[in-house]
Amino acid sequence: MVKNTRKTISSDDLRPLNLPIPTNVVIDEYELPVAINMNGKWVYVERINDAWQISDEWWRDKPIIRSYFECLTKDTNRVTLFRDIIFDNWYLQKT
Amino acid sequence: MLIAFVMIDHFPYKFEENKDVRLKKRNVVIFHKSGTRSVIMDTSPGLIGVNRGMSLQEISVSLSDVITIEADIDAYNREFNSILIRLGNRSPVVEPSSLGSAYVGLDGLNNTYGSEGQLVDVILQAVPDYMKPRVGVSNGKFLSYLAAMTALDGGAYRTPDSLEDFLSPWPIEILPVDSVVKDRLRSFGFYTLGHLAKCQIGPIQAQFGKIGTRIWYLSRGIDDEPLTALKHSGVIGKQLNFAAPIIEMKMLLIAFDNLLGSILANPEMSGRYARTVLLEGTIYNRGSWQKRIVFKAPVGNRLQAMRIIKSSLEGIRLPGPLESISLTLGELTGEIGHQGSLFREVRRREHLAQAIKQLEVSQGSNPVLHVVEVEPWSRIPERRLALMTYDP
Repeated sequence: MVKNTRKTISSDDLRPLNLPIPTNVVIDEYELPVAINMNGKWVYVERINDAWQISDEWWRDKPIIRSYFECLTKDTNRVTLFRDIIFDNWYLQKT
Repeated sequence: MLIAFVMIDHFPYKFEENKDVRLKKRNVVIFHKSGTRSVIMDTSPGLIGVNRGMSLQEISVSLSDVITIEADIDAYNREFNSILIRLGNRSPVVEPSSLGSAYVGLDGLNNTYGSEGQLVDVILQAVPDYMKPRVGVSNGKFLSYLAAMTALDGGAYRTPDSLEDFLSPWPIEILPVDSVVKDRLRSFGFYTLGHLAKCQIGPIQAQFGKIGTRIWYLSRGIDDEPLTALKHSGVIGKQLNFAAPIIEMKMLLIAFDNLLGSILANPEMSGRYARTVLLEGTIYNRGSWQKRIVFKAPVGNRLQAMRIIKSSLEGIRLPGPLESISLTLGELTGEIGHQGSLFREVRRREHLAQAIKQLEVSQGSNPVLHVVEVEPWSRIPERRLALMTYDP
């Protein structure tokens, strides 16, 4: 028999919002995005408005190093995406 | 007496596997320290040659590819207790049997849940999916246990009307009696429950006395052992896991406030007051952190309790980033008279809490969530906001 701790404990997890959405991206020779696959359709990048990099949680097993790009697409939508430098994958994410 | 037996095999292993997916399909042995010995508490399913109760030293020579984990018994008990609470929300009579198994009284609940099938569904939903519970339904504890042994993982089994056919093939090892009694039964040529049931009660009584009467009745599916409902305890707590470890005191206070609100919204806390609060945290890559606060006067009010917690934590330096925290209210005072609030806002919250409680019962968990700021300053967008169960 296991000892009854007389505790009534339940657990409750926080569910993160705005998780990155995996996507496919075509890059140029400078490794900048030129086309983004959005919901199965390729959308071409007209201009890169901004670019920045974050490096965080370096103390954990899986550090986070990302290159973010805020792009203006040919249909004049603003899209933010990033490249996961460690795993070399692309994701869409609102910032 | 209609009873459901909820059985979770390899409870410690399933708990550890859920925490660390790398353990999946590996040979795992979970042990606990007993004096100077390391005793095996559980193993991964199908691990041959290793049994519970064996010493770890006995197996380390022969099995080289085994992962050994020290049991986190407090965590197992916490998880099991949370399952017992969820079962208790579905039936008023729940009796824990051992770690990972419990009897649940079903009498009179069919009408509440519509049918026996729906009732079994809500019982299965009380257990997290990764635990793959098996539920056996029958009249009596022993029969419901056998039914659970027959059920598939994550499923349920009800004993058939013809109990004789169901019972007779079971080996006598299944009987809840001493191994000495089983050895003697075998020496008389009784190898199955069917063999025992065919015999008259007299000779069995003559040989085994009171135990003989009980096992003879069990072999015929007659079991009138009553269920003893789990008494509610004098403590109540809740745990919260963070997506990423936190170090900021401000964030810690928000999290404790959420936990406190959630605990005080629990019907068990209705009209009750706590004399102590225990704050605990798991530190990333290290042990745990703990702080116990004793209230000068019993507290049952969220704002008041939070004010005391906040002032007690002032100036405290956390020993490291916290991966999870828990808050436990203790030394609860008995029920006291509680007058409905005159204030509209408080009444509105009470009605909302009641509506959410009803949803929780009908859907198995509270489906109402709200957005909380977790680390609004974080450079990682998904760390800034999170959804959390809403407890008004």
